[in-house]
Order: sequence, then structure tokens, then C-alpha cells
Amino acid sequence: MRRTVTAGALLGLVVALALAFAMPARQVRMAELPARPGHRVPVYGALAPFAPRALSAVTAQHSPRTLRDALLGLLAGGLTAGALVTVIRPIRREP
Amino acid sequence: MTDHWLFEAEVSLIVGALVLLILWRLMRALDGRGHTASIRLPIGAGLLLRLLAIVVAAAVPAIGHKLTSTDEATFLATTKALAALPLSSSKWLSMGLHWTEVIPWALTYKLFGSCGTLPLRLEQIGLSLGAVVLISATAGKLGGRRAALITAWIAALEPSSAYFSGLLHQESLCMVGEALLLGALVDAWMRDGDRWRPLPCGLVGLGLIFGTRSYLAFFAAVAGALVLVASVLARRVDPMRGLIVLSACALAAVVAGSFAAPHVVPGAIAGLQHQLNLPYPGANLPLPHATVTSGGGLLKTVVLHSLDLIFRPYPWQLGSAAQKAAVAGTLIWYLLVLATLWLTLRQGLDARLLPALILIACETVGFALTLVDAGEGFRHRVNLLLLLAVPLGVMLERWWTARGRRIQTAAVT
Repeated sequence: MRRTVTAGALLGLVVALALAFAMPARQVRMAELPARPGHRVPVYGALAPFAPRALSAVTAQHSPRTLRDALLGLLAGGLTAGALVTVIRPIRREP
Repeated sequence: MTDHWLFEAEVSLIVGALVLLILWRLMRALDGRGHTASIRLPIGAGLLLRLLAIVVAAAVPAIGHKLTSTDEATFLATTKALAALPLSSSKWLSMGLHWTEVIPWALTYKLFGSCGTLPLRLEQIGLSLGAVVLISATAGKLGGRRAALITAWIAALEPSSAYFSGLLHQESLCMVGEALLLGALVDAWMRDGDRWRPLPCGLVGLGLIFGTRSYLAFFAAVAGALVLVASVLARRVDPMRGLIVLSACALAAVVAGSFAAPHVVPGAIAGLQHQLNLPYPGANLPLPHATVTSGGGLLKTVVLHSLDLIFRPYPWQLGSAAQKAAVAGTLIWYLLVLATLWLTLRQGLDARLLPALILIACETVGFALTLVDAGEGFRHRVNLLLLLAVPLGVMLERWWTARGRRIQTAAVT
């Protein structure tokens, strides 16, 4: 059980790190729109995942949250492995 | 793909694994009294069916869009607004009392941030399957291991329950409340062990029903009172005579209450009439207009809307893709109701099933009073179906056992 959870957590960590570094795009979390004070700028639709080309110069993408993603990957892998082992193992042992 | 996709997938895995572990612990904890260890297979099948329903609803917008674009959008906006507030805000308590269903979702958003809707849907699925486990434990207590298993298969695989379990709505948490309340009522009815033990369980169940559907809590509380009165009567007089007296008194109370309500609680009746007059956004199967401001009108609405709740939408109402998909749910509902009636006529009324039958009757009246649209009734039936699975499971188990005995006797002779 302990070994499976550890293996699952490590696998989750590796997959999360691989995806975090290989991800082709970061979510746009902030867009600064050039507008004079008092003027409204119409924006239609969601900016994510890619900002419109016209806004790309002023779109700020936050730095990747690699640490958060890696920690969550570790936790998700360990928990998933633990849950699957807990639920599946007794069924297999039944005569 | 963006890095947000990875984040949502990780949170979904964490929530899904926790849901699986909690369901497992619940089954193990209830195993002693309700034989729930044998229901792993139906629970697993129910989980897969519910996940499939989420995929179908997302892939076929004609089915999924109509439901997710009305109430669910409001619930989701409320969840996001609540999650943005600090936990010390009084809004958390207020929403916990009146919109209890958004509390787990808001706590998830508070803990992880904006992580999409999939983790919330997994929580809903976990709650609905938790209700199935609880209701199976109750059936197991009444009819043994096989009754628990049959109840679990019915409640887990019924298609409309599977579909609505993944919706961000009130159903799943309300079903947990109903399952807890029914378990407490059955315990009180059978009165084995500590006689006060069912009380906290029943109060929590009633609280969850109030938090999700406040009007239904009144009818659930009436059902609780009727079961307690019936349990006292059953010990003092002949059970059948006690049942007849109780049914006559309940019927008289419904008629008297219908005529007294417009004079005693005119504000509540005006509110109910307002709700019945309100054009429901997206309603395409509206019911005929109902007037509840007079005693006769209220009584007529109770009777006609109860019938509407049971029979509508009709299987030939195929106006949209969602209605076509709902036909399977309607036909299975008809089949389950007919099977319950047939088994009751064949086996006679089993006194052990009275708490479930009383709760079903009271909740039918509660749902019927506020019904404006047959589609809404279709969704409300999910709650009734969960309760109906208990008497059906117990009676099917009796039928199965009797059939086995007949076959054995025939083989010997």
C-alpha cells in the first residue's frame, strides 16, 4: 500500500513537471488595455487561452506556477494510487 | 492547452480520489447494519454511468446546454461570489442555511482557486452515490443483504438519477438529507437499540433538506411526525386498524389544511401563487395554470399536480433532444412504479415499509404544490425514485426468495 502510494505520488510529480514545462501556452491572467482615462474599451469573449493579436503587446502572462502544479501533481498521484489500491485490492482478494 | 488545464486536471484527480475514499469508508462503516460491503459493484457501475453522463452532456450541447444554462449558471455565479469572501463573512452562514448546496463548491474554490466545474461535479456524484449507499443500508436493515443489493442497483443505474447527479443543482445534497431522514425514521419505527440514536441523524437529514429545499422540509417533517405517531399506534392497537386510523386522519388533515391555509397563512399562499405564476426561463413543458388562493383551488392543485408529477412528461412529448433522452427515464420510472404497485398487491402491505411509503407520499405533495413545469417535475422525481428504491428492493427480495422456494419445492416433489 505504502509503496504504491509513493510510486503514484512520484509518477504524479514527474507527469506534472513534464506537462508544466512542456505546456505550449500559459493562461492569460491579466490584460492591460490601452485606454485613455474616462474611455471605455469594449472586449468581447474570453481572452484565454490566447489573447487576440491586437492585444498581445499589452497582455501579461503570469510566470508559470510550476511549484504549485508539481505539488498538486504529487498529491493527486498519491491520492489516486491510494484510492485505487484501497478500492480494488479487496475485490481481487475475494474468492 | 494552457497550464490552467493541468491545474484543473490535478484538482479533479484529488477531489475524485477523495470522493472514492470517502464512499469506501462510508460503505465499510455502514456494513455492520446494512450489508453495504456487497454493493461495491453497483456503486462502481453507478460511478461509471455518472461520469459517462457528464461526458455526454458536455459532448451533446442539445442535451446538456438547456440544463446547465439556467439554474446551474446562477448557482455557479453564487459559488464564485461566496468563495471570494473571507470565511469570517456572515454570508457563509446565511448561504449555509438557505443554499446549502453551494457550500461544498465554494469551499473547493476557496481551497484551490478557480478550478473549473469538473471537481464540483465529482463532489455532486460523490454525494448522490453516498445517498445510494445510505438508502441501501436502510434497505439492508429491512430486508437483508439481497434487498440492499437490489436497492443499490436500482438507485445507482436509474438513468435520470445518473444524469442529474452530475448537475450543479440541489438534487444530490437533498438526496443525502432524504436518505439520512429515512434511515432515522426506519430506526425509530423498528426501535432496536438506543431509541434516541436516530434523532441526530434525522435532524441532520431534515437540516440538509431545509438547506436545499426549504418548502420540502415542512412536508418531510410532517412525514416524520406521521411515522412517529404510527409507531406509537402500531404498539397500542392492531397495526392494520392503526394504519387505517392514521390514513383517515392524514387525509382529513390535508383537506382541512387546504381550506384553512388561505386564512391562516395568507402570505405563504400568496408567495406560492406568485411562484406558480412566474414564467420559468426555458420552460417548454408548462403545466396548466393553477390557482391556490382558495381552499378548493389548493386541494385541486395538490391532486392534479401530484398526478402530473407522477405521469408527466409523457413519453410521446419529444420536442427536443433533451426530451428524447428523457423518455428512457420516464419509461423506467413507470416500470418501477408499476412494479411497486404490483408487488404490494401481490404480497400485501409490509408494515416495515411504512416509513418509506409515508415519506414518499408527503414529498410527492410537497413537490406537486410548487410544480410549474413537467421538466422540473422530471428532475424532482429523482428524489422520489431514491426513496421508492427501498420498498421495491425489499419486496423484490421477498418475491425472489419465494420464487426460489417454489422452484425448490417443485424440484423435490
